[in-house]
Amino acid sequence: MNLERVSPYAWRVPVGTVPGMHVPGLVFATEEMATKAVEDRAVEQVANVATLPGIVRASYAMPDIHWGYGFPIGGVAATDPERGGVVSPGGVGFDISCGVRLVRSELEWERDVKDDIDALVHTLGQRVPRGVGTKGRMHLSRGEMEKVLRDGVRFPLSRGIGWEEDAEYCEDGGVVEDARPEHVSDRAVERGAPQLGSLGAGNHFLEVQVVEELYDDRAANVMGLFAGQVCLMLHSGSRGVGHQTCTDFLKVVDKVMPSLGIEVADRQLGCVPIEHQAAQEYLGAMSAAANYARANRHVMTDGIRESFEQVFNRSARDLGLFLVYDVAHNLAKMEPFEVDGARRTLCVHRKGATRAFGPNHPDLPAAYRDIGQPVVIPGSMGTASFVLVGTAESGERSFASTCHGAGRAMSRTQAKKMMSGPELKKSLEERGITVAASHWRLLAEEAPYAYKDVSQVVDACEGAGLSRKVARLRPVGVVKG
Amino acid sequence: MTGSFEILEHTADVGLRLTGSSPGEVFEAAGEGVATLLGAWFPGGGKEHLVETIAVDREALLAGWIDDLLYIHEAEDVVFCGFEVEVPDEVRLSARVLIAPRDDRELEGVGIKAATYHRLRFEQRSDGIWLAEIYVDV
Repeated sequence: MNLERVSPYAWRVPVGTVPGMHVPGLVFATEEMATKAVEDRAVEQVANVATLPGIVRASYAMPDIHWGYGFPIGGVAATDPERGGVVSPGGVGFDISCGVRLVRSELEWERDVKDDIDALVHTLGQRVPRGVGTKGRMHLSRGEMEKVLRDGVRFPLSRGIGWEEDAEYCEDGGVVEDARPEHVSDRAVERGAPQLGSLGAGNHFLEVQVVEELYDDRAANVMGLFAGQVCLMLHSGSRGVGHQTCTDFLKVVDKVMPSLGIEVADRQLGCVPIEHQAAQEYLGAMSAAANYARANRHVMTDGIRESFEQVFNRSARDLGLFLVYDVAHNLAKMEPFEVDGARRTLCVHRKGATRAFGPNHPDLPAAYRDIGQPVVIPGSMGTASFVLVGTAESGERSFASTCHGAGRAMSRTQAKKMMSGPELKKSLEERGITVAASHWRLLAEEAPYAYKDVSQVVDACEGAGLSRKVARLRPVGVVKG
Repeated sequence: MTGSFEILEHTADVGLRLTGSSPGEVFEAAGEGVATLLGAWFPGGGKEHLVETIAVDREALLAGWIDDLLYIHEAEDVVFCGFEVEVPDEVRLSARVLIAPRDDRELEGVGIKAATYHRLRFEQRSDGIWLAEIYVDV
């Protein structure tokens, strides 16, 4: 498979790489990352996405690209409804609106937290439910589920959970418009009702982190970040609601597509034109699941604040536990962009990619208008995480998208062969990182060495002009799902 | 049950290669494979739970079967103890699934979100053995 170098951080996948490509692929990566993405079959998936009807400009991949199902992880595709553009549920994935949030504090690592980190990690592990099939902090009735699906973080706020200003610093103000709970199936509602406020399993986590280095003092100051500060990063999604919603609509799309004459290179890329009733119902249900995901992270934040209050014996407000930002990395959104000299509203699929609006975008909280949208990039347990901001040119370069994490480089089986869970725990603790895991045996699947070097990934994003670095944070405590 | 499963490597997710002397055995192997990945495979006695799955073709039937099992596991908070699957035609199956309450069992498995259609295949080899491959999102 041939890649054409466009710049030091961009590689074109020419039209014709696979049959039926409407646009080229464009992979943002260093040469080493691009080579690995070819070996990993992920570039073939970039080419497959380029065959989707109505796709515009290019099928993009972010520097954390790796082999996914249908779409590559790190894939971005925008389709134009006025040109037969489609929506593909697989292009959002099963964990609808999975995302990351960063909570800052007024606490300093050396002065305030270092001596209590074991107690803090233990308490977080107790107060935030985690693991396979775990029940959440809230058990909802069917009527309450409908409110969460429609109102997102507004529902827990109406019950006195969380702080009013949390909504402002959540993507979309914590509520995705156009949610249609009536298109969320009974099964999805049943799965989600007992799970609100739970972390889940796999690569989902809570991390206590310390701000280690600032790259942009002004942007960091606007976000309330300073060197030595303790923050909390949370990675989780829409739990069974999202999983079931994607499953339901994959079946619908799979059944409808042949009658519309649409053929796809991979069955998981199943899609229907955005104007089609099935697409509209999917987008409504997807938005509802996204509201659940936002509410889920919001409710867990309450458990995080309780944990800090318990350990430090001060109120969460006194501890300054404010939300910096909450942003998703698995979603399709209707967004306006300039294409071929005209303003068009496109359906932007981001599968393992983060929205990264530049400065002055109207959808940003007023406080962040001058600096651009914060992008929270988790590392790989044991390695650094980053706070970035979107750039003015990211709209033109990648439909305002950047990476979502380090990106896996190794299968779970390979990772477990390299080190056992207890060995990994010992290794992390020797590096000053306290760990609480649901199961030690499974910890090794998520070992840092199973992922790419996150520093290289964010440097490639910056080199490609997709986002800029603001701060690097190092983990001092990890709670794994 | 004489069907069997093996794990297929995938960078982010997990695949299952399933073999059996009949389609029913392949579906039973899929049940055992998924239950094993979940850490929820406790073979033996359990309460009978009947499952009927319908799909547009045999491949989608396999994905639908796994999705039905994931739903039962999560919604009813149970572990799996056995599978007996009858496959009257390419688009439907009837299964007796033996389940037991999870209770305080610690499930040392991965959280499976769903079955995918990525590289999904289900076919009979020239030697008569049935073979299927499916990837699940974890």
